[in-house]
This record gives sequence, C-alpha cells and structure tokens, in this order.
Amino acid sequence: MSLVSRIVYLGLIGLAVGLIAWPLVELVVFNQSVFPNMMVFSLVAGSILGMVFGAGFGISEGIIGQSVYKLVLGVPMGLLFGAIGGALGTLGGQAVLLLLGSRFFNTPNLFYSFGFPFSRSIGWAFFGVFIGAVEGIRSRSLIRLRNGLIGGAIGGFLGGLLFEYIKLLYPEAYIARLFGLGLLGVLIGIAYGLVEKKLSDASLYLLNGPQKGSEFLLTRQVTTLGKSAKEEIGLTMYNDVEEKHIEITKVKDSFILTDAGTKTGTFVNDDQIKKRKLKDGDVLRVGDAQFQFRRKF
Amino acid sequence: MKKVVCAVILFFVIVPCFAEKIIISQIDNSSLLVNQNVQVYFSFIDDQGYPVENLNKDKLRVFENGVNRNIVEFKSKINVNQGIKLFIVLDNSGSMYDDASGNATEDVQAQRMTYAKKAILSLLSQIKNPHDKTGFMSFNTSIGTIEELSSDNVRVELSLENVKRPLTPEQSYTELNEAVYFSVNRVSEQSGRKVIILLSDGENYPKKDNEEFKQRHELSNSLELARKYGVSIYTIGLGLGADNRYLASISEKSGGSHFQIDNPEELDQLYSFIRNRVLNEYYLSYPATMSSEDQKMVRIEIAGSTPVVQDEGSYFSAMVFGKPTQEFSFLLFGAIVFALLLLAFLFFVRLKKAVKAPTVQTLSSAWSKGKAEPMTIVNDGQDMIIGNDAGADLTIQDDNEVSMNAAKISKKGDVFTLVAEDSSVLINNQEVKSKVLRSGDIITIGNTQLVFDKGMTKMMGSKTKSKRPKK
Repeated sequence: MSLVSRIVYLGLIGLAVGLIAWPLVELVVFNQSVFPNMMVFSLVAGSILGMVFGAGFGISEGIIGQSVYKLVLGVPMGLLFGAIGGALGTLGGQAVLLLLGSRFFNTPNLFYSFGFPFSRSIGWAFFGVFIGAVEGIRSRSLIRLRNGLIGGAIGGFLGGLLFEYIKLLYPEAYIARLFGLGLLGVLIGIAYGLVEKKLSDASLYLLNGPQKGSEFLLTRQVTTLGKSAKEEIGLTMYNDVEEKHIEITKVKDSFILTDAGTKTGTFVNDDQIKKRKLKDGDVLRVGDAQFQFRRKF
Repeated sequence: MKKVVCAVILFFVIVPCFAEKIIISQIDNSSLLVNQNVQVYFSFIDDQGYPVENLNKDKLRVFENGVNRNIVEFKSKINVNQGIKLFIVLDNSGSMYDDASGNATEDVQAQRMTYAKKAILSLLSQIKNPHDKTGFMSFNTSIGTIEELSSDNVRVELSLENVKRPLTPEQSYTELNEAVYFSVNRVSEQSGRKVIILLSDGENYPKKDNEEFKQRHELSNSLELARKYGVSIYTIGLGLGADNRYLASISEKSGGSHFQIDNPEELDQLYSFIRNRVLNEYYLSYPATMSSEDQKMVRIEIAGSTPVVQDEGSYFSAMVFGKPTQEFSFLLFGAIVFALLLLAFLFFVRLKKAVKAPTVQTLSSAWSKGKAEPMTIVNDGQDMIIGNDAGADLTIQDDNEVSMNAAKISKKGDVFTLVAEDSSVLINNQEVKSKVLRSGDIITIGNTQLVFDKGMTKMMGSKTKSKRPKK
C-alpha cells in the first residue's frame, strides 16, 4: 500500500472507530445522572470511548496488512491501553475544560464566541493525546508514540472545535457528537499517518509483484520482514520468502540489514549478504520481492 | 448640625433603607471533579448595610437548578486578609465644577470636584493591604483617563491630577450609564473581590447621538452583569444637590452601598467599611447535581424569610462530551453496523491496477518528478532502445549525461536482457555490460531511474522459475 493510500485507510478506519464510539458515548451520556459523581462518570465514559479507539487503531495494521493475525493481536492491548488512556484523557480533558471554561466564563464578551469552543477543544485535545498515545504504547514504538501524541492532539483539538460549531447549527448535542467523534477519529487517523510519514526517516519501497508500489515505513527500532503475517512486514504473496527472512535494525542514524540465516538468501544490489549497512537507493532482494531502500535526510 | 446629619447618613441611614440581603460573591467549581463539591462565597448584610457575623448554617438553604442540596461545609469570616480590587470611577462632567449645593462657582475649593479628589486621596491613603489593587477612570461625554488595576496607588494619584475640567459644553455631559457599563466590563474579568467606587453628582445626562457611544447599554443590564461577575458598586454622591436616589439604586442593585457626602473627611471610614463588608464573607460547599448543563444556577436563601432573602449566581459546569440527548434510541447503534461494514470493506478490498504486461517505468528522475505511464515491451526479437535520442523507444530528455542510445532491452520469450552501451548505465546500483532482467530491477541511466517489471502473471506463474541465475 502506498503511503497516500495508507493515510486514506487510517482516516477511514478512524471514521469507523468514531462511528462505533458514538452510540456508546450517547448511551453513557444519556445516563449521566445515574452516576454518583463527575469523576466516576468521566472515568467510565472515557474508558469506554478509549477502548473503542484503542482497539480500533489496534486493528489498523491488521486491516492495512490484510492479516487476521495482526488484526487479532491488536485488540487486547488496544482495549487495555485504550481504557487507561481514555479514562485519564477524559478526566484530564474534563479538568481542562472546567478550568479554562471557568476562566472564560467570567469574560462575557469572549465566552460563547471563543472561550467555550476553545476550552472544549483543549479538553478534547487532551483526550486525543491520550488516545493517540495508545497505539504507540501498544506497539512499543517511540516514534509511533510521538506520532500518536501529535496526531491525537491535532485531531482532538479540531474535533472539539467542530463539535462546538456544529452545535450552533444543530443544537441537539448528539448530532454534534456524531460529527465531533467522527472527525476526531478521521483526524487522529490521518494525522497519525501524516505525522508518521513526515517523522519516519527510512522506508522500503516495493518494486514488483502483487503489492508493487507499497511503501513500508521503518518506524521501529527493529523491523522484521518475512512470509509470515506475524512479521512487521508480511510478504505473504511472494515466492522464496522465508517465515522470518530479514530484520532491519536502527543503530543511531543508520539502518543495518541482517539476513535471518535463510536458504534463499538476501541480496543488496545483487550481492548476497549476511549483514549490511543500508544506504539510500540500495536495492534489496528477498525471494521474489525487490525493494528500494529509501532514506530521508 | 450639618455634620451630625452627614455622620448619621454615613453610618446609620445608608440611603435608601436596606433590607436584609445575601450577596453571592463567588462560586468556585475547582474541586467539582475531585469531590463533586461546589464552593460558594457569600456575604449576609443586615438592614443597616452591615455584615451579619453570626449567621447560622441551619438558616441557609442551597438550591442548584432548583434542587435542594445539602450543605456539607460551612465557615464564616474567611479570607479576611485577601486583597480587594478597587476601581475608582470619577465623574468629570461640567456640574462637578459647581459647589455642593449645585450653584456655579469659580472658587476651586468649593467645587464638588475638589471634594471628590480629596475623598479619593483620602481613600488611597487608607489602603494598607499589600494585596489590594487600585485602578481609575474618569468620564464625561466620553471615557477619559484610564489607569488599569495595579498595586501602585501613586499611578492613580497621578491620573487624578491629570483630570482637567472639560473645556467645552460638548465635553461636559454625564454619560453615567455608559461609564457604569464600561467599568463593570473592565473589571469583570479580574479574579477575586472587585469593587467599583463611583463618585458623581448623580444625574445621568447623556449627549444625544453621542459618537462615543453609538450603542447604548441599559443600566439594568449593566448592573445584572455586575452582580453576575461579583462586582459591587459603591456610589458616593457629592453634595446635597446630587441625585442620590439614582446613585443609591445603582449601588443597591449591585450589592454595594451609597454614601452622600459634602465633606471629603466624611469618607475616613469608607475603606475599612468596604473591607469589612466585602471580606466578612461566609463560605459553604455542597455536592453538585449530576444533571448535565453548561452552566448551573445556584441559589442561596434564608429559610422562612419574608420576603425571601436570597441571591442567585451561576457556575460553569460543561461536560467534555456535552449534554445528553432528549431521548435515547437504539437506532443509533446502526452506526456501529455501518462502521463494521466499512472496516470489513477496508480489510477485503484493495483497489489497484494489476501490472500484467512487462513494463519499464520511471521511478524518479531529474526531468519528471511524477511517474510516467509504464512503457510496455511487446514484441519478441525487437529491441527497446533507451537514450536521449528523440528517436529512441524511451527517450530521456534534457539529460546530457545520457548518450543517444544508452541501453537496449531485448525480449526472447520470457527472458529480458539489457545491454548497456555506455558506462553511465547501472542496474541495481551496479555497473553492468549486460544482464538478464528480473522483476523489480532498477535501471539507472544518468539521473533517471527506471523500474523493470515482467508483469504479474509471468512472475508468479511457476515455482520452477525461482532459481535465478546468479551474477
């Protein structure tokens, strides 16, 4: 999958996540008066929302890689970290909203035009940051964590802003929440993809075969590649690729390619290698598949 | 005799007669999320305008949005040492330069303005609390000098000196109502206890079609604003000819007091009066309701009082996810079904053009950033010439490093062979004379990179093809 499609896919997955979260949030918010206090309410509403977002983005690699293994793998950790992140994010977002909103509450001129929407957006951004972090923590990747934080903050902020302004058009809050959550999902997804593209400094571009044109970002400390869908880059549709074929390790600023002791071998610029420091433009051959290694400077 | 009357007015009969009063000065929601409690600061004033110091908790009722709440904490005499923000507003209209009885005079010492200035200086000299802040503004037909709130009283004194008699009748009007709005709006954004001290001879005497105030503000709205944001207005009527009734109504509606003076020394006690009044407050806290409103109304009343002694205020209580819908419908869960279908679609469906025929396609080049359409190699036995010659099958333009016919690709059945004509041709970053091409090979010619692809059907066709000739 090309990087552009990847961003589109992440955006659409985000949309689906927002749509799943919406009725659940409606249900919880509708029953708000059942809760003993604001703290418990925020924790419950936040963890439910967080679980949906966590699991939703947790399955994104599985959906993009069309791998049921990765799909299932992403769910439990997504649920766990999502519940934690969502609860903390909602509690924090609520605190931020109350704090900022109360400040603006005393500025009659600014309150409705700016103060309230701004406070809500900052509150949502806070929530978004925690939700965005879930995927980074789940996949234990610092770069993904950073990407998620930035993407979540932007997505949350704009989602919250949209929520407020939609409310001006449709005073019934559930419409606003539909748009707000949908946009939050889309923007976290897109921002995640965009930031990921911008911040990652190397990729493998697939030159041939059924997945020709796909670009795999090397965002982890160690990226593994093999025929198995369990590997970070799963080449299920290529011949002569072994279960685990190579791994690429990031050492400071360089990327080291290591063959995992395969029979069919690994080639860089048509030379068979066991271990090699990659440079921009190198052509990698793994079984039938040929990649171009791309380094961003 | 006159002095006695004034003393009575100041200390006992604050005009007009007071009724008992509750004034909510602040509603604090900062611990709402922690323990669900809302904290309310308020004062209770007796019918003489003095703070009542022994209010009993059992006499109080608290309502949030009309729902009775339990008081969980109750304290009196809190924050006695807290700072006050005093914003002094001085009428600088033409009549302020009359004498106390409202007669024109050229004797500066007899003018109301002189009294007013002395009164302000006296007030400033009484301020001892380092947390207090003072600000100042004057007004007539327009808003004059403005000195923002600061802890430096000297700045107010300097501004005061700069207040000069208006030169023209045009400048001499009394835009009292606008001055009230302006000053309330000015201090409303400040935190803590806010007090406006308005010194005037009392008549609202606006200029018709005043360019300065194209949009007029109703006095009652301004006073409502003052109440909402905890701004108390203390009015000081200068001279017996002043419109004390008007000023008194302003102060009463905002929770302040009115004083009538015709001698600046009569204000000796003003500062301590205000301090005592403003800071002698009660504090209570109660658990908030769980209904979802962006703002909630809080009302405190004295139980059994007739007419009801009460006050109302509001606090910000918006929830991060907003208000609930009127009715919940399980139809909303349709969104989940739709979302799952979308996810299934994303999982199963890939939109892509399958490359079937053998092609050569540019990857990146100096002359074209984007990818050109793939060029198909069709005929057996016919060479595909690549070079910068316009007659080549694949022409690489504007690249001087590329010779006319740099390379050719020939096809024999399934085997494609590239033969390089000059040394600038690289395959997979290696210099070669000739090579049997493999799907995914990168052919570099000058600044241009081409990707060779045999096409899907050929490549994935059979396992037997997988043994590839080594270089």
